[in-house]
Amino acid sequence: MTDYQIIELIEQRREDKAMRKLYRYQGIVKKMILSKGGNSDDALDVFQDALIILCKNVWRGDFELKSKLDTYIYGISYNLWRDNLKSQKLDFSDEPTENFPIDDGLEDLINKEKKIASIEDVLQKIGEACLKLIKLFYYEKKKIKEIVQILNYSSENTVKVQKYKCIERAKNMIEI
Amino acid sequence: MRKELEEIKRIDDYLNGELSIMDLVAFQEELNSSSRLQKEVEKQELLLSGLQSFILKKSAKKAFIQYKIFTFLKYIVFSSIVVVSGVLFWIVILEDPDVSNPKPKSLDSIPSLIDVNPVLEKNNEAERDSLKYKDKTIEADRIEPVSNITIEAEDYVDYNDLSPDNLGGEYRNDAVDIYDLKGRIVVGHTFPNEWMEYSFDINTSGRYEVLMTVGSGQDSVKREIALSVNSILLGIAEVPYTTAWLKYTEISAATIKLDKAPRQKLRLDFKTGWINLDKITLRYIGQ
Repeated sequence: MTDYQIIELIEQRREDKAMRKLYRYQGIVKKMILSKGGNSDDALDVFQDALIILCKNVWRGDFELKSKLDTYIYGISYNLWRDNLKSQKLDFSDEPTENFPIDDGLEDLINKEKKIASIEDVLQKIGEACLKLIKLFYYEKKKIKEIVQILNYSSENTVKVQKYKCIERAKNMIEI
Repeated sequence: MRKELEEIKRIDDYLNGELSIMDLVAFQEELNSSSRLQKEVEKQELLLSGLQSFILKKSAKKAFIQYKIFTFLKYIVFSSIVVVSGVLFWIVILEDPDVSNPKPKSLDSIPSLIDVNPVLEKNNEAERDSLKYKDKTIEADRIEPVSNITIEAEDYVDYNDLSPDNLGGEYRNDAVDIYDLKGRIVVGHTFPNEWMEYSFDINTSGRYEVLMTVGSGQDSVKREIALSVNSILLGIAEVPYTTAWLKYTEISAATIKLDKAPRQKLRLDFKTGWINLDKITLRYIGQ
C-alpha cells in the first residue's frame, strides 16, 4: 500500500485500517526514542500521538504530503519527544541532520496535543450518554435527523439542547 | 434556552462555520474585545479537538493489537512454510533412491522385531553371504591369472553409516543403506563421513586399475569419494552426474601396484553425499 493510498484511507474516514498499515513504521520511531533516553512504552505512546496528529492534519483539509510518510511520522515523533524531554527539563541532543522542518499548521497541532491530554479525563467524566451524543455530532459527523433516530429522541430541538448541555458540562471541567 | 446555552450554541456555530456573515462580523468584534469569550471559544475548540484525539487514541490502540495479531499470524504462516518445504526437501531430494524404487520393505528384512526364529534367520543369512563369497572365489579361480576382481558395494567388511537403519532395507541388516534398484544392488543414501571397507585377495602381483561403478541423480553439488588401499590414500574420485539414480557409469579412480596377498584392504570414504555405489572392480593391467 502506497503512502497516498494510506492518506486516502484517512480522508475516507477509514483511519482504523490506515493506522494498522502505519504501524510498520513503528520501528524507526522506537529506535530513535530508545536512543534518546526513552523506553518502549514511551515509544509506543509517542508513535500513537504521531498517528493521531497525522489523521487530524489530514482532516483539516489541504493536506499535502511533502516527504515520504515514514519520514513525516518520524518528524512528528521527533518533535513530540523533544518537547516532552524539554518540558521535563531533560537533556535532548538535537542533531541538526535530524531536525525536521515542520510547517506552522503542524507545529500548532503538536502544541495543542499537549493541552489535549487533560481533555481525556473530562470526556471520561461527562457520562456515557453525553460522550455518545457529542461523538455522533463531532466525530462521526452524523446529521441531526439521524441522531434523533439513533438515540431515540423526541425532536431535533431536544437533541440540540442536550448537546449544548453536554458541552457546558464538559467546559466546566476544563481548566485553561 | 438559557443565556449560557445560547452562548455555547453561538460558539459552536462559529467553530463549525455556520454563522451568517452578519453574525460572524458581530461575533469577531465581540471576540476581539472580550477575553472571557476568547477563553470560552478556546475551551470549546479544545473540547472538540480533544474528542477527536480521545477517539483516535482508542483506534490507534485497537489498530496496534490488530497489527500485532496480524504480524504474529504472518510469522506463523511463514515459519510453517519454511518447515513444510524443509520436510519436502528431505523427502524429495535426500530420499531420492527410495523414490526411484518405491518398493516397500519386505517383512523378513526387518531385523529382530519379528524374530520368530532368530537362529534360523541367522543361518539363512550366513548361508546367503557365504554363497555370494564362494561364487566370487570360483569366478576368480577360473579365469586366473589376469581375472578382474569385482567387489560389490554391499559386500563390505566394515563400515560407518550415520543413519542407524538400513534405509533401503535390502540385502543386509545393518546400518548401511542398501537399495535394490531394478535388480541392481547398490549402497545409497550416502553422507559425508560415512565409509566402507572391503577385503580382497590378490593372486597375481602387478598393476591394477581401480574402477568404480557409481551413479548420482544430483547435479548441483560436489560428489567425491576418497579411495585408500591398505591404509594408503590413493586419491579422491569425482563422481559424475549420471542424470538419474537408476543410471550408472564406471569411472577410473586410480592405478596401484598390488602384491600377491590375501585379505588386503580397500576403503572408500564419502567426502560428500549424493553418491550411489554399485561395485568396485580391480582390473589387472600388467606387471
